[in-house]
Amino acid sequence: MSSDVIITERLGMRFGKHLVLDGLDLRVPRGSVYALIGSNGAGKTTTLQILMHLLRGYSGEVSVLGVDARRLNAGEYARIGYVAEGQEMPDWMTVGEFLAFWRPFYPNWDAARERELLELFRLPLDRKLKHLSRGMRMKAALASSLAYRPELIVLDEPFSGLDPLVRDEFIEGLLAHAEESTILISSHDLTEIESFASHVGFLEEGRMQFSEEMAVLAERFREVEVVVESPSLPSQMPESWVRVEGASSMVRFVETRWDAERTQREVASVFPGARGVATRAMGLRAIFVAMAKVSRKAA
Amino acid sequence: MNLVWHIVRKDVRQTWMYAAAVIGLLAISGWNLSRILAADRGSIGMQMPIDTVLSIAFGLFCGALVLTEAIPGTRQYWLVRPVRWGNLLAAKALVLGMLAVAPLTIVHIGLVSWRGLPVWGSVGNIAWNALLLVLVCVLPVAVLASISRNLQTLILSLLAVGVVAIALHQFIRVPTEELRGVVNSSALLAGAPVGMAILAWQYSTRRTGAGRVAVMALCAFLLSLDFWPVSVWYAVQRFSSPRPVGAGMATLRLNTDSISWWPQVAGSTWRGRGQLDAPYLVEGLPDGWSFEVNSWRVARVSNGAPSDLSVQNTGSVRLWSSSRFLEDNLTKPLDIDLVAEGTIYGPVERHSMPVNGERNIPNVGRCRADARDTLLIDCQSILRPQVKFGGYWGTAQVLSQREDRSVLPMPSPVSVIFGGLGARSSFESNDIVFEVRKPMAYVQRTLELRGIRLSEIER
Repeated sequence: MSSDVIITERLGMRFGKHLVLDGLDLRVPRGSVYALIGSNGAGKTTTLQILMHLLRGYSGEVSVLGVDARRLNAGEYARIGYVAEGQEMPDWMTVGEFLAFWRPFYPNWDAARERELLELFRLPLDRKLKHLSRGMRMKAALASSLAYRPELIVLDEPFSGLDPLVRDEFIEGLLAHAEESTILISSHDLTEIESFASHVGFLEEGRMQFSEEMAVLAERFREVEVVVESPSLPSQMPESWVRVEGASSMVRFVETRWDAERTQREVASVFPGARGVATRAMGLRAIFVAMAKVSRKAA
Repeated sequence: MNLVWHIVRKDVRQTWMYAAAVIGLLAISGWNLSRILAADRGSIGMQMPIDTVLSIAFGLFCGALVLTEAIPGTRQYWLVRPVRWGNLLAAKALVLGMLAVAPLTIVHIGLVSWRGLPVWGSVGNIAWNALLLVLVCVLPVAVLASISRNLQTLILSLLAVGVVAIALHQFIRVPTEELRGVVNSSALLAGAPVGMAILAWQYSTRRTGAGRVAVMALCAFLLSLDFWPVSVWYAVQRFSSPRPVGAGMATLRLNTDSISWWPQVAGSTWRGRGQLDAPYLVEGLPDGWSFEVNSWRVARVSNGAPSDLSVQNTGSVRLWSSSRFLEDNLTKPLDIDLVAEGTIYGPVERHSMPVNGERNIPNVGRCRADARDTLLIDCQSILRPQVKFGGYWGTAQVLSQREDRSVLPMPSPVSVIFGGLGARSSFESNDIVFEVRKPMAYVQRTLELRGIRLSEIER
C-alpha cells in the first residue's frame, strides 16, 4: 500500500483559454493533515474537485486511495468525507433526517460517534437544514462526513465565513474524530491551519511552489535583518533570498533555505561590512504572504 | 435494493406535493371521463383543460423528482457520496411508477371495467398505454431534467423546445394527415431509445456538456422529421405492413376505354386549368380483399412536358394541368407515369348491434348507438383501432373510420369518442351493421399512361 493517499502527477486543467492547473504534482502522505494554501484563483478548489472526480477534462494522473480518480465509485466514496464551502444541501431535511438518510449508505457508520458529534456540535436534530446558520450547516455536513470514520477527509474552504467560536468547534470536532484519517484541507485561514496541519502545500497560479512538512517549513524560513554601512543592494545575491529590501542602514530579506552557518557565511560574503545580523522565525501567514508577493512580482 | 427503497422513501417525502397534485388531477380526470363515458356530453369540453393541467403536473413531478439529485454541477450534496447511479435511477423510476403511472393505470382499468370493456383482455393495451405515456411525457422531461441545473432552467428548456417546435410547425410541408401517425411513431421509435441512452449516460458519467450537445442533436433530429420527404414516410409505412405481399397483388391497369378530358374546367376557381380523368382497374386481389389508393404522385411526364400536373384520387385518377399544356399536347402522344401508395385490406368482417344498444365490436372497441332522437354512434377503445370500419343502418352509411396507420399502436384515451355520426333515419332495420376490414399491407404501385393522344379522346 502506498504511503501517499493522494498523488497527482503533471495535473493540468484549463477552463477555456485560462490555464488553471499547470503540471501540478501533489502527494498527501497517509495520516497527515495536509493544508493546501494559495491565493484566490490559485487552483485549490479545482484541484480538490478533480480529486473527488467532480471535474473532468484534465490532463495528467490523479490517484486517490490508490484508485485512478476517473474510476472513483461508491466503494471509494464510502471511505471519503468531503465538505465544501457553498455545498448544496437538501434544505428540506432536518438534521436528523439528513444523518438518517446517509446512515445506510456507509457500512462503517458509527452510531456512537454520530451521537458524540451531535453533542459536540450541539446540532438540533429536529431543525431543518434551511433554518440553520452557515456554521451549523457546515457542522452538520462535517458530522455526516465523520460518522463513518472515513480514511480520507477533504475539506474545501471549510472556515470561510465562520465566526471564530464556530471555527474552533469545527476544528475540535475534526481533530477529535479524525485521528485515523488523512485530511486534505484548502483554506485561506492560515492562522487556524498552522495550529493543526502537519504538511503544507503552497499553490500559486496552478503550480506547487512548495510542499513539505510544517515543521520543516518553519525551520526553513527566516526573516533576516542585516545592519549595514550603506543600504545599497548588491546585484548578486543568493537565490534563496527573497523580498530583499533596503532602508537606511538596514537590509531585510526572507531566507527560504535557512541554515545558520551557511546563511551567516552568505551574509558575510554579500555584505562584508555588516555590523549585525538578526533572524526571526516566521509563521505560516508570514511565509505565505512573502511567497505570494514573490510569485506576483515574478509574474 | 434496500438502498433503492431508502432513496424512494426520501424522494416521496421530498416530492409528495407534486405527486398529490398528479393524483388529485387524475381523480378529477377519471371522474370527468366517467361522465363522458356515461354520454354526458357537457363534460367533454372540460377534458382538454384537465388533461393539459395534468400533463403539466406530470412533467413538473418528473422534473422535480430528477432534480432532487441534480446532475450538472459540482456542489450537490450527494455527488461525493456512495450513491450508485443505477440505484438512483431505479428509485426515480419506482417513484414515478408508484405515484403517477400506477394511479393512471388504475383509473384506466376502473373506467374500462365500468364501461363494460373486458378488463383482462385489455390489460396488455392498458399497460402499453402506460408505457407510451412514460415514453412520450416522462422520458423527454427526465432527459431535459438530467441536463438542467434546477426546475427553472428545466422549465425554460421545455418552453424553448416548445417554441421552436411551434415555430417550425408553420413551415411543415410534408406529412399529410394520414402520415402523421407514421411520423410520430417513428419519432418515438427513434427518440425513445436514444433518450433512454442519454439519461442512463448522464446518470452514469455526469458529462453534462456532452449530454447537452446530445440532447440538442436529438431535439434537432426529431424536429427535422416533419421536413423529410413524403416518400420516406411511405417507405416506413410499407416497411411496417402487417404482412408481406407479392408485387403481383393489387396491380393497377389503366382502363383506356373510359378516359375523358376537359380543356377548361368550369368555375372561376379553376380558370385556365384542364383535367384528365383516367379510371384504373385493380388486379390480382384474393376474393373479398380490396385495395384503396391513399395518395398519387406524378413520377414522370414524357417529352419534357411541363410538369405542372397535379393528381387527385377520386376512384379514377384525375390529373390537373394548365389548359395550355393540354392544348399544346393535343396531338402529341403523352406518356405519364403515376405512383400510388395504397392499402390492401383483407375480407370484410360484419358485426351487428341493435340500435339503442351497445356491444364490443372486435378490433374496434365498445360501441353504442342511440336513435331516440338523432342517431348517435360512438365507439371507445384503449388503443386506436388499426382497422378500417364503417357502420351501416339499412343502406345508409352512418359511421366511417379509417384505420390508424401508426407504426406503433397509439393510445386512444378512453375519453376520446373517435367515431360517431349523427343521422336521421327511418330505416326498418333495427340493427347497425359494422363492417371491419383489417389492413394486410401498405404497398406502392405504378400506373402507366402510355401514348395518350388527347385529340383522340372524347371531350
